[in-house]
Amino acid sequence: MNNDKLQRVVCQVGAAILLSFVFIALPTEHDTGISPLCFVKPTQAAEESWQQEFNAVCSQTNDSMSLSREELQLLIERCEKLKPVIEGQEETTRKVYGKRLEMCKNLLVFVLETKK
Amino acid sequence: MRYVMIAVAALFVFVGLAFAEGGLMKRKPLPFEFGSVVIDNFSEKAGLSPVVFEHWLHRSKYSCKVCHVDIGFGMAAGSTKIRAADNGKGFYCGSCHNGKSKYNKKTIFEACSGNDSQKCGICHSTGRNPQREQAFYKFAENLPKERFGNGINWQLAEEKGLISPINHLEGISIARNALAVQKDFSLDAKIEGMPSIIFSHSKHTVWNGCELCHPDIFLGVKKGATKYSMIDLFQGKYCGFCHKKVAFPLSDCQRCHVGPIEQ
Repeated sequence: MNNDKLQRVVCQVGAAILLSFVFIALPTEHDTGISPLCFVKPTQAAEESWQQEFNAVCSQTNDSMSLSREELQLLIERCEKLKPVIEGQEETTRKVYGKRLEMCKNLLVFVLETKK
Repeated sequence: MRYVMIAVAALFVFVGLAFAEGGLMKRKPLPFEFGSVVIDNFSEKAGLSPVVFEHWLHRSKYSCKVCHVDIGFGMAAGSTKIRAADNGKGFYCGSCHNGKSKYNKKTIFEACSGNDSQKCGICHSTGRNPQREQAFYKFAENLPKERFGNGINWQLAEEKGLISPINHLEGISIARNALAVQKDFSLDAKIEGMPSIIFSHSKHTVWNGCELCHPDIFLGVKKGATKYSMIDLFQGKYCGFCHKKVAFPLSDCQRCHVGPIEQ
């Protein structure tokens, strides 16, 4: 390897290290601790996804009496899948949505029991 | 020795009376006090007065479902264990009391922000508050009257369009289909000569939805599946969950016992 080539490699590595320092040093968002370089905020995306699922399942409580046993069973299973996701959220979210999910699931179980 | 015996006997009488106090009838709340809930899970420990939550004020603006299903407030006083931090994050009271939400084009004050200590006293207000009392009577003066509770016939007030409780909070409530109207049904009274009860599902679901009552308060869906008596209700169970503290009280017999008299 000649000197020119070696110098070029050293420069490239140096530039890469410098660039990585710049990225690390960029201020993060206070609320989430996520770098603004992230194109999509992963926690927000995940939150939206479980909240959408929660809304989709629990929006059907008003229709629960007209749902079939299979449909009710499926909704209950979706509630059960949501439970650990909600339990993994921060304290207040866990408390609020945990209770809301419990009320929603209990009603679905209750309606299913009456149909048996 | 005789005086000592008399003193001991007197002491027993006073102690006995003090214990018996618990069995005496409680003071009937005044119309503006009826439904008020004192919340003191953390307030006094934090050096603040307990919160006095006025049901009359909130129920005039929002349905029961908004707070007890969508926001997640428990049905028993103090059961939710609300922290100032929860409100600050936009949950519980902070769902509306966030300094951004509006009611009737007016911004609702922010709760527990820590920015304005004078605002703490709006909610942390145990003790008599003459301004609130005046506000209640001013609010109630044009509403249909009722003999008990708040002295307001809330149901009639809504039917006449005098109040329009909001049933959906944007960003918090879930969009649901309208409930199918359930049929009213009759429940026989257990006492001879007492008119039977006509239970209206539609009147109850319009403010509550399904999950507020089923299965936590009423386990049975079929008529007669849940057995209860007036004693249970006065203990705050079943109908007494709401009709002892917030909705028209159990002493207003004629509101429920409206059916034909059992012979």
